[in-house]
Amino acid sequence: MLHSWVGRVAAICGLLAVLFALMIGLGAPAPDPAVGDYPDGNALAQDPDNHVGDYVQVTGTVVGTEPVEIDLGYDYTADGERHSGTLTVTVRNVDTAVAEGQSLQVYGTFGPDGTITAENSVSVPAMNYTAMYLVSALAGLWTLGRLICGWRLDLQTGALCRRDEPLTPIQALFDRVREVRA
Amino acid sequence: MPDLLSHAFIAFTLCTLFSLRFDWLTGEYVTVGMAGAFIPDMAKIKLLVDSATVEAALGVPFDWLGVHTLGGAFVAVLVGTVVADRRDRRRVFGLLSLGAASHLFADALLLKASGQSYEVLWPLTRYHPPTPGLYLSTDVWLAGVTGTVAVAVSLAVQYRT
Repeated sequence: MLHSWVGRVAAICGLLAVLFALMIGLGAPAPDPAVGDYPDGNALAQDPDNHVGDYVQVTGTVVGTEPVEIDLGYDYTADGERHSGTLTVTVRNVDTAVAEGQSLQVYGTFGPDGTITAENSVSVPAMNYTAMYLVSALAGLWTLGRLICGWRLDLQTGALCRRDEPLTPIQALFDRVREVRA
Repeated sequence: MPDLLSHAFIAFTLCTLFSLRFDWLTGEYVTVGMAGAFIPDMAKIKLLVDSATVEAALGVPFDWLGVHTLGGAFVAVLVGTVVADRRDRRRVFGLLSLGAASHLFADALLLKASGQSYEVLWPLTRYHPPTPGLYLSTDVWLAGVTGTVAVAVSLAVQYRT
């Protein structure tokens, strides 16, 4: 068992079903401040009145500095209908210097007038996502390259087997080129 | 952490250090540990298909971050273990677990405004443990620091007398 293609595929399907169930499970519960799970932008957009006086933790883009205003993107499904958009909230008591375009994470209380009185805030400079994705892709290529050099797929059983003699990167590239040309 | 490179460096460093203790832990196995560090960030699939889209399509609540937790990462590690050749399963399980755990732990130290991290131990508990807030998710210097340590450890292990 689990040593053939059929066994492996069946086991992986079963495991993916469990993983999927875990993802559904994590999406289900409502925020619970008692465990440190504070209402976020989605919760405030969905039912603001229900959260007046609550501690909330939201992250948004700074769109105003006098007073500080942030845009919270929300995207949730309620009663089978999808709601998405942005909610602009005013934040009082921000103790860090902020500039428009920055991302700001705020922890504080949600007031009846729809503003948040910050207890703590963390500002994040407008991020260079392209550079970040490039760096992450580099990590992926590095690991994938090492995987190809050290391991091979056994087509008989579908198993990933360790190579008795690991390839060097040059060799791996050479083999690949030869395969493509053949 | 923002970039996978830092996570890959951390897993590389840990596995290289473990190779001092376990003779069988060669470069090929270090790679398995590094692959394990990628597991929690499979949640980044949300950049292509976000959780709300899946919710709307299926009509049930959904959160990709499920794989970025103890339970989700464990199941994903089992997938990797099943794929591995039977002779290597135990080692692969251990190393994938090490890589994935190092990732979850490093992310539990991220700075949060509320001072509490994320549901890292889910589904055992939804508790968000307090975080020391050592770094921001955008700190690029982390890749430099973890990379320097990785190179230093690798050289030290290679040329130890």
